Amino acid sequence: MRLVCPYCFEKLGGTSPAFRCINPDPTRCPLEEDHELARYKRLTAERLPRVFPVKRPMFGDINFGVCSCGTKTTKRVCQHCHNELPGQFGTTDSFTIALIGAKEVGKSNYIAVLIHELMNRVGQQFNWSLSAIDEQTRRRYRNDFGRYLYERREVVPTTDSARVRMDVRYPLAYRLVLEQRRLGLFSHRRATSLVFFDTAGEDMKCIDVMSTEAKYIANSDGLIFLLDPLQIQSVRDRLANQIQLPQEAHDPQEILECVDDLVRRMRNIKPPVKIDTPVAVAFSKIDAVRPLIDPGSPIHHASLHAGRFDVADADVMNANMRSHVAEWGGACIDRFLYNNFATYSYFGLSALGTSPDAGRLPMGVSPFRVEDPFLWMLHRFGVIPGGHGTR
Amino acid sequence: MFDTHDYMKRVLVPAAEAFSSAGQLPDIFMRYDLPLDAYHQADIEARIRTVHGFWNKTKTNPKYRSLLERLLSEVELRASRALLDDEARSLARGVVREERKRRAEAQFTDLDRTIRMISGKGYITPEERTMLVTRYKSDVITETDIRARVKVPEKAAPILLPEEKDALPLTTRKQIRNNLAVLSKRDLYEFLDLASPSPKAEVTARWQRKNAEVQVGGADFRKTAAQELLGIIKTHLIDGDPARYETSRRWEIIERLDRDIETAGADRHIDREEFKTLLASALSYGLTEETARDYIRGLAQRRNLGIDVPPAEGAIRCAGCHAMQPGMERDRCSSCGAPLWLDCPSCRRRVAASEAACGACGFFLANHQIAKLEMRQAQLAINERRWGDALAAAREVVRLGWLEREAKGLRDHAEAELRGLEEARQRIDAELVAKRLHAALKQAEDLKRRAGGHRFRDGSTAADLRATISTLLAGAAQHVVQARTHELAGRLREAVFSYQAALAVAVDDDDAQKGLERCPPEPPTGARAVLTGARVEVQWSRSPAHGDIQYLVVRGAGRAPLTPADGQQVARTTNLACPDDGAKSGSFVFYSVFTDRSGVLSPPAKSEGLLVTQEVRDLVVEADEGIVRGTFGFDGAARVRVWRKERATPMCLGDGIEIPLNGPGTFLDRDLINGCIYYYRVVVEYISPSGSLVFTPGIVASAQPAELPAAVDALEFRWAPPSLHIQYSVPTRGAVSVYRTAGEPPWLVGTKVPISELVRLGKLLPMVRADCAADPSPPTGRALYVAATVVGDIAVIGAARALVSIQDVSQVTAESFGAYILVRWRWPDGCSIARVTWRFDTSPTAPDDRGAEGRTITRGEYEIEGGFRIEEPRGQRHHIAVFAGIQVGGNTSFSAGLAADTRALVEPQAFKVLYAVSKSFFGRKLKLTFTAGEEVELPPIIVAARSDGFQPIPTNYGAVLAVLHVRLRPRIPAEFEVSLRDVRRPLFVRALFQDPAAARSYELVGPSAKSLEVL
Repeated sequence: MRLVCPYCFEKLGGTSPAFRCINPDPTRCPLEEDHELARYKRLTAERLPRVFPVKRPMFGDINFGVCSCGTKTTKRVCQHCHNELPGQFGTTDSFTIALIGAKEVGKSNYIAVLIHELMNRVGQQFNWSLSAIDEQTRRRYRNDFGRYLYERREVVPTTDSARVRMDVRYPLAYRLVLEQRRLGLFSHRRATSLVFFDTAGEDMKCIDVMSTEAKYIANSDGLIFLLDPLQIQSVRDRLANQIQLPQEAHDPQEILECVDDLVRRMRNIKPPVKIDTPVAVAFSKIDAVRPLIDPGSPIHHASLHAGRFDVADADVMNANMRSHVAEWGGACIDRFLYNNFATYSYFGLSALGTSPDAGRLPMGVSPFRVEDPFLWMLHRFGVIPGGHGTR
Repeated sequence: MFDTHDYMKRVLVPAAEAFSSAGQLPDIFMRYDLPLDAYHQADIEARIRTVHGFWNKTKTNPKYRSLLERLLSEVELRASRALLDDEARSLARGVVREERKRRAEAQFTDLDRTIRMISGKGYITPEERTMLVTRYKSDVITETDIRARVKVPEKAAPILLPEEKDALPLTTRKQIRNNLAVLSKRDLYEFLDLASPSPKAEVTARWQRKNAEVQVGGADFRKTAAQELLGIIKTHLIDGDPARYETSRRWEIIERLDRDIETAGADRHIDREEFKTLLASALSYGLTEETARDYIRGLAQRRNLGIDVPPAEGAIRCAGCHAMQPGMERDRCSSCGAPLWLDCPSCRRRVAASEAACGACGFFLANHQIAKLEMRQAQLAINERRWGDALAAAREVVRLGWLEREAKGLRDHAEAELRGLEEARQRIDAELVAKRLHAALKQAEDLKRRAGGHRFRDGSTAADLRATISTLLAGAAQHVVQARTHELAGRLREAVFSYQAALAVAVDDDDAQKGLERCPPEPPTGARAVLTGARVEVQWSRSPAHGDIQYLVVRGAGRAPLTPADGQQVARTTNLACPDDGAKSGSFVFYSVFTDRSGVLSPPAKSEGLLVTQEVRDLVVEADEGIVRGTFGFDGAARVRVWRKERATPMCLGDGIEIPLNGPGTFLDRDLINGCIYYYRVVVEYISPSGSLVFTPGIVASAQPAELPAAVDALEFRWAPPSLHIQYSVPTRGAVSVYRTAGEPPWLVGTKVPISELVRLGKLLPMVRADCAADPSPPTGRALYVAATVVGDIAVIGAARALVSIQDVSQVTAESFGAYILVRWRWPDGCSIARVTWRFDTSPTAPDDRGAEGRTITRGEYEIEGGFRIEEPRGQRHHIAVFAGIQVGGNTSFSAGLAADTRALVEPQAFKVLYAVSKSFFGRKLKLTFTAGEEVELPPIIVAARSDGFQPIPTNYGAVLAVLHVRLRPRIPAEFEVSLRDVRRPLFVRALFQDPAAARSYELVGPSAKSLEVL
């Protein structure tokens, strides 16, 4: 298993895992200035309990360390950036999924609704449980996402740049526990760590900013590339007098190019070789463009993933959306994806289910197909089975 | 002779510095520059006066102001009184001496703490002494001071341990040990059955007896061992020095103990717990505790180990030299000879002299002198009747905890006295407020005797109070003297003013009162009584009397009162008229008005007699079918008469028909014509003293009897946004009014009530039509609507109907997503439950519509699901209605759902037709197979193909390979072949309707994307 720190994305293997002492008495275990953590946070070094390396045993993993002061600690930290790693990190599969897209494409709304749906409705379909791994994730989801959509009934405000707000750099880490059947006879429980990154759209404008503030993209196991169809000029022209259109934003292909550039640079992949990271190209706000989509398209129907990923539905959706993208003048995006990424698929979804009324959602949130890209990823990772639907 | 310059230099300047730096005040001897042994009271008094004078003169100096203001405060001046009493001064001397000593020794605090620490063992070593000198020697503390403060002896080599050279040889010791082990004896003395150690003579005698005993009997290993021991005893205890055997025993103990100490002191230190364990071991080896402690210390010293020696159990510390003294029975310190115990000054129990406080009662021993002084101060204050000072001093003694019972007794006594004084003072204040100065003066004199020098809260004493009252009384007396002068000179007007001025100062001044009585006021004139409505008003003209006057009005029956006692007082006023509400109806009353000047009355001004005539009150006439019922109130002893007239008011007595009363305060008029208005005049008939009849003008009321209408039998609700319409069947007679009431109506259906009572039903609703009333703003929650049919003055209560008015949901939308229909709406405020119902034929009429399917959903479920989902909908039209719910009394009530946007319609889903695509072996032909669940003829279908890598879509479908006309029968597939000649590959095929609009009715469900790709 390739282990990468979810914060600094440095490789976590080696012979010396690091732990942070938990001795509460600074007279017995003096505090030390933590320059590594300060470098990650870009703040002045703070005096914190000391971090010490522990020699890894020949076989198996080590899940605790004993400080020189005699205190036993299970608080494992990354030996590079000294951020505390989520509980049982490294003991289960871990997948990092990065959400990319231009500013105001609805990334924060999407991630907020996706996690809510995975915990509730989709969780019920797959009989899995999704829970936050650490307190920071719980607090950030509650304060930055759930509070707006499900308590105040208003859209999630624009995410601040990671250069402005430190905690944006920290991911949302969850543990997915589900039952798997082997050969249809034996079942066992499988735990998977999922790490979601939500980043401000403005951090994706250029390769320089992206390489410092969003370098997790290069190390992610999957990319969800969110596209707002209302930003496509052809669509805007067709819907000009029918709905209220958002302001024009960054060209989505530029962002894709930056991502490609970043991944190739950081993972040292030469141009002819396709990047093996799966990319889900998801068209958000699909409810607004439904009139432009042909009536026989599966986009008019909800997906039905009853305990397994509906592969047939995804294939039809991919082919149909691909045609529409080309129809709307996005053939260049498709060609770019075809030539640079080994695996990609198109999806259509709506996180909110309706257009907000001056930022407010008086009828609540009615998500549509939000889980499809994520389930496609899990199916690709081998976490959930696939099958053909009943439609 | 008091030298101010010298006082300033020696006392005031250092005191001011100490006060500004540490807030420290000079003691009471120092501040008056008195020697501690001052005893001549007159000299002391003179010195205190002189110093006070000097302080008062110097306190303007900013350098000394804060100190001198504090010294001249009440508290500090009170403390100086201790100097004037021999006993208190003696006690104060002790306190001051202690305090001075404490301050002088403050510099030695750290040194004493260290000495106390190292002296615990009863001596100090030369090294410790050197350390003390090195650490504490300074410019202020000399080596001599340090040595003087160490009260325990200095010892060079304190502990002498036994040495092996003084013991028996090792082989002999081993022999003794082995043989004693065989015989299970501890030592040689026990072997001989003697106490250890015993004198040589006893050992010899015992040895001989034992030797004889051992010779008897056969040989065994016990006998051998005994013989060997007897030989050793002979050699070393009888013929040799027994001390060597003792040394041997101790040496063996030392050896064992040393091994224990070596283990315990591995960390170069023996702590208290380790010491206790070692001590227990040493005691088990047979050592006394004192010896054991010495040995452990000595061995630790020899090994150069740090040791923390806990005090022996029951040991106490000497207060003089700080040495620890073992045992509770010792009275004096073995090091310095100082007494170890003293009696607690408070509870008399024995307490260690080194303790700070008594362990039994908690009294701080250092406070003894202060407590005694405070107690003396309290006693002195009580003797001098300074109750406040006494209470403060007694409370201080109680706080210090000394002689608790006596101190509390003093405190309670002082408190009771103070309480009594305060109560007396309050009584005097009340008299002063009432201006009874003579009474106040009498009480003030009594208070002066009791209170002594006590100062009340306002700072005054009883003497001050008495003086104030006397001054005021003197002023009153002056007024009386002036008045008398005027009176004698015949100037009555001036005399009256002066007498009144005296009474204004002291109302209980007898001289002024008597003077005024000699000059009575003149009576008013023109007194008369008149009836104004239901009450009597008495009027009169101003009296010519001078001064402050009032008028006293007195009512009499039968004749005018000559004095106030002759009648009933009506009013005391300065006005020239007053009402009288107390005169009884029908009575014949007279009024007298007196001029009142400071309690002195004039002769009366009398009115003529007046017959009090009043009308009835609260007259109500109620009409019914053919009758009118009247009620009124009347209290007097007079006759009430009622006249009735049709369609006009009876103008006077006898105008119309007289209706007899059918009881006190009621009359009933029967056999009346319904619809006709009847007027009633109610008159009261009085008899004057002369016997003539007197009638009141009377009160008029009207009523209209009518035939009773029918009650409204049912109410119907209809929603006409934004109003609620309440509809009913119009009765044949009468007009209907509809009321909205919050609670249950006070009457049952069919009850007749006067229309004036209908207001009790609540809010009257406006009428829209004759058969319909409207509620423009129905309240949220439960409301009751009641109809009343009104004819004439009568109303008949009709049906009532409750409405649970709940704000409807709004903006209901429903959208089909194939597998489910998603229904969404906007929740009204405060609503957390809703019922969704759907029908296929028509819109649901109510939440409980029997022809509809439905489910109740909470707001939380709605949030999680993102709306309400109708799973697996039928292929029919869905009429959906959403009703907002509210919990009332444990039941759920739903809104009417009458607004248009509470409903939505979902058209049936498109008819689903499946098709599959298969390719021929060489790929030149395609076979399309269509199937459907029902018989259907589809609109023309095109088979489209795109070669650019994208799937055909209606707006861009590429080339048309074929146009198909498909007619399907249930579950029988229809197959079509399409040629792929002349088409560029790879390509994507797809079946689409030729007319895209057909996709609204039919849905072509194709195979997987792979199947549609032709390579």
